[in-house]
Amino acid sequence: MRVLREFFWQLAALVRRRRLDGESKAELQFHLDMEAAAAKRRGLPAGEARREARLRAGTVQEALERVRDERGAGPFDGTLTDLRQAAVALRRSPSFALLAGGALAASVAVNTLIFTVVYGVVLRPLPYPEPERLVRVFESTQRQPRFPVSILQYEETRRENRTLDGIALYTRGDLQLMHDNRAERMTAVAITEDFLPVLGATPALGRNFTASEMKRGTRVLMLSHETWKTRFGADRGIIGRTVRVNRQPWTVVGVMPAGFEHVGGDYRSPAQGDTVALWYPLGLDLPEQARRYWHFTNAVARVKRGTPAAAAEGDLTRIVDDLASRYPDSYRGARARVEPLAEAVLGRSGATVWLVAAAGALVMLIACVNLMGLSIARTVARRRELSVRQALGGGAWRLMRVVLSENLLLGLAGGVLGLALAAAAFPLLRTVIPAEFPRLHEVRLTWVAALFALSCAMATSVAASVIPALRQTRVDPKEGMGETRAVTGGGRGAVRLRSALIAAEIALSSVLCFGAVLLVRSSQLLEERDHGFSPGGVLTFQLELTAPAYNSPESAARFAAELARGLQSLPKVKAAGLTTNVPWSGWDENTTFDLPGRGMTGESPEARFQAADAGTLAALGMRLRHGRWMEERDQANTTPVVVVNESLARSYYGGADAVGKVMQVWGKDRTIVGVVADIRDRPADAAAKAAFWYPLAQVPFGSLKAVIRTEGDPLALAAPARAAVAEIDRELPVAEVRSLDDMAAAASERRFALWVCEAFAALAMGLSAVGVYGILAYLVEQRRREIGLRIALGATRGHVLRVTALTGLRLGALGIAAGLVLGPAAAGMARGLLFGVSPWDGPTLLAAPVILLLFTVAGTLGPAWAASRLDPTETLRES
Amino acid sequence: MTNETASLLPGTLDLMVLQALAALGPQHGYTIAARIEQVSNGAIQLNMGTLYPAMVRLERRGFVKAKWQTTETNRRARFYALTEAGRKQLSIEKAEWQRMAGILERMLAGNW
Repeated sequence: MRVLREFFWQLAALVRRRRLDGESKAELQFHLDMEAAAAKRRGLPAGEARREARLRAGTVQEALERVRDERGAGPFDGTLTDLRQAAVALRRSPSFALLAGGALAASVAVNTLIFTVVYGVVLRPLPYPEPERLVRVFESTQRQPRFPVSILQYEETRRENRTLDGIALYTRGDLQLMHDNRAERMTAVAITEDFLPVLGATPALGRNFTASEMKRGTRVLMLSHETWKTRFGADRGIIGRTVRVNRQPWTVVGVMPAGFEHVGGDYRSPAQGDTVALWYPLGLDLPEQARRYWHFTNAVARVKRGTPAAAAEGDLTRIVDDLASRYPDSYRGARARVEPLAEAVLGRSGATVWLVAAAGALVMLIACVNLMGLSIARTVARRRELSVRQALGGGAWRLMRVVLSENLLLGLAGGVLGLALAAAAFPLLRTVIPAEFPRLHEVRLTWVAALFALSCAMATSVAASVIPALRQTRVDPKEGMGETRAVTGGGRGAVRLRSALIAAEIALSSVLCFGAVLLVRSSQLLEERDHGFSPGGVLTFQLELTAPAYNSPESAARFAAELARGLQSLPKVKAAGLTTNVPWSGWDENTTFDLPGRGMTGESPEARFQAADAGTLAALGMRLRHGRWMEERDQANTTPVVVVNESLARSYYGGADAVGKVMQVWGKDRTIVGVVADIRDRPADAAAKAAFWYPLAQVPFGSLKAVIRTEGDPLALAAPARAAVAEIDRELPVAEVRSLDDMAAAASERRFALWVCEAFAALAMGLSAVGVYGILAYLVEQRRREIGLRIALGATRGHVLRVTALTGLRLGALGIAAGLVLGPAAAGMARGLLFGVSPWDGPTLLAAPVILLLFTVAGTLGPAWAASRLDPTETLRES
Repeated sequence: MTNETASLLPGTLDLMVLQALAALGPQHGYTIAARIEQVSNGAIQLNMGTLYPAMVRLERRGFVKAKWQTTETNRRARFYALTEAGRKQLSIEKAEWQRMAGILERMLAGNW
């Protein structure tokens, strides 16, 4: 504490140096004058008195110097001098400065970028008051561990819980908004009246919904701040006005605060963030059965202060147990699951984020080792200078400061440069993060990241100073000063230490190299995998056939049939169809079904339900295995049929024999007419869920995806496709126009991890190559005379080349050997991102060392070549 | 001329200055030096090169505070005043000095 205060005092004294000098001078002059006046009073003449005063008190000049010295004394004396000397020293060896500073800057840059991701996605608290008390609540069974809650569970929980301050429901259901004479599909979420209070928010304008509005067909809504601004010109008079929504008049009752963020979720919910345009009441007034059986509403709750999530889970499970005793068929075997909101938002991406962060930390560690190695080389090169300083009485702390100040200067330069690099590369980062990554909007280059970059660089450079500085203080000055250039013995310990550091560096790089190779192999295997459909050249868009225009199933079916015909007749279209969903889009709608003659014992089988028309098979490029796909002849008035996937056929109908069998689902016997190949929920999933398709004509859905396969660029088809929709229904908005390829690519978070790992591995191996280069160049420099002598005595240049290169390669081999153990062990921790390869994957164990060796060779060649080119007539003349 | 620095035990100068300020209240450097000389019966003469670095040291440690004021002869001079920390330091050092002096006295007079 005192040291710190003195430091600041000194700093202030340094800044006000000139003024303080003036003051001291005046003070000393005053002293001298008083002394002279006293002498005069004793009777001396004026001239004699001044002489007497000088004798007694000394001269102003002399005293001033000692005052100045005293002002600068203390633990931080000469810090500026040190830094100035460090700057000069660095300027004198630009190759060291460039190598060390550049390597540091590159590592700082990648780490800053990674930090922006980790900070934005994981560390930054969610934007609600006391976010740690917010939880997601699920119904949890063996089959569905994170099932949305039923409405009855919500109501019972709200009434009977002892651990919550509130619980609310939300579920996505987009609306079509008419404004400026244009129909637009808007992301909309239906919420209960307690949704905003649970999150701790209130509308910026107007009011929240009321409990009495939680009924189907209540036509009131709240606008997001963004919607209010961009669609209604931020008109404060909007409250109470009617707008046209789903072709009916709705009343605007409120506007959300600016930047209000939705809590997100995997199922029937937009992602976490400012992602919702409209909010409307959730209709709880469903038929009694539906209130228990339907699971389409997500729950978010706020636990009481000081209540752990586990206690809340126990409390809410008690309520589910009670429900199970009253309605065993709905709630048997179910319990409540309570998950902190932050955890739920992060979801599966947490593993990716932490993997990337770990890779970043590894790079920083390598940069630190690298800088350490370079610093050691420098202190050894400056042995004589430092030994003289030591002999002249420079204490340990003083000597350490020489190294420290140089590295600090490098750290500062590296940090600033790294920050600049990070800023330049930031736009690139945004393009490689998968679009559905949680909290992507939070990934920003902020001052926190800048602070991180600088402290990262400084910490690295200080850490890298410790060993070289400590070593320096242990050097015997006698030895150091007596050393001439030709003698290399004294540096041997340092060389050994540096060699160990570089081997360590290569070992650390090999961890990243392993990771990168494994991920490359995974994505190759994934690409070769049969995904059950072909994403190339397909355009998709989404339509919502909302009530009341499409109130009857017949009207929806009629529209679908007409649109399919319209799309198929567009130029360049090979196939077109309408379906409820496209692969890898997170569709997760399930139903129970029955097999004729199955006993009533045990759980009834469950499968994913979807619907599609005749054109969908060809449009998505799905593979028909047995029987047939649905055809035009499957109409509402013909035999009810379904097409199942292989997984369902295998699990319940004995595979190929499924065709012709009957599935009892949604109250009807439906004949299985065909079996199609499995399509997994996500590209890397081990297996597909049992799934089946209704013909859209027999079971019409209001929420549709159009899929159009074209010969050319799918996105070029967007405009004619829109026109085809408008021709049938002028007021029906077309939404989510995308190419299936883009959607498929976005489904693969592995891509991001892959990109990062590749970039990091390249950087790490580059750093190692620099390390190898550094130590060899240094060795060659130290041994110029020896090598010259050898050449003069007849060693061939090839021999010199070989010997030098071998020194480098030995280090590489050592590091790689360590990496062979470390790499797979570390890859084991990232198993979740691997697909089809084990951490002990043979080809990887072969490929990674080869790549590493190539980098080592790259670092070796320069110095080895230089050594073999040495001219003995020159080197032998040097002293 | 006596060379006062040689006869000063290390650390005693700071103690003397603190004691002088405690006894006299805020004073400028000349008075401090003059009073120390007077009280020591001329045994200790401080020249500026000794006194003023000590003042800087005491100021840096927060034991004294300096302020420009006018003297009774209407000249501007830098006056030093004891701070609370300085007062505390003085009592600590005083006690320490007396303890040491007592020990030494016993040792020098005692029978071994």
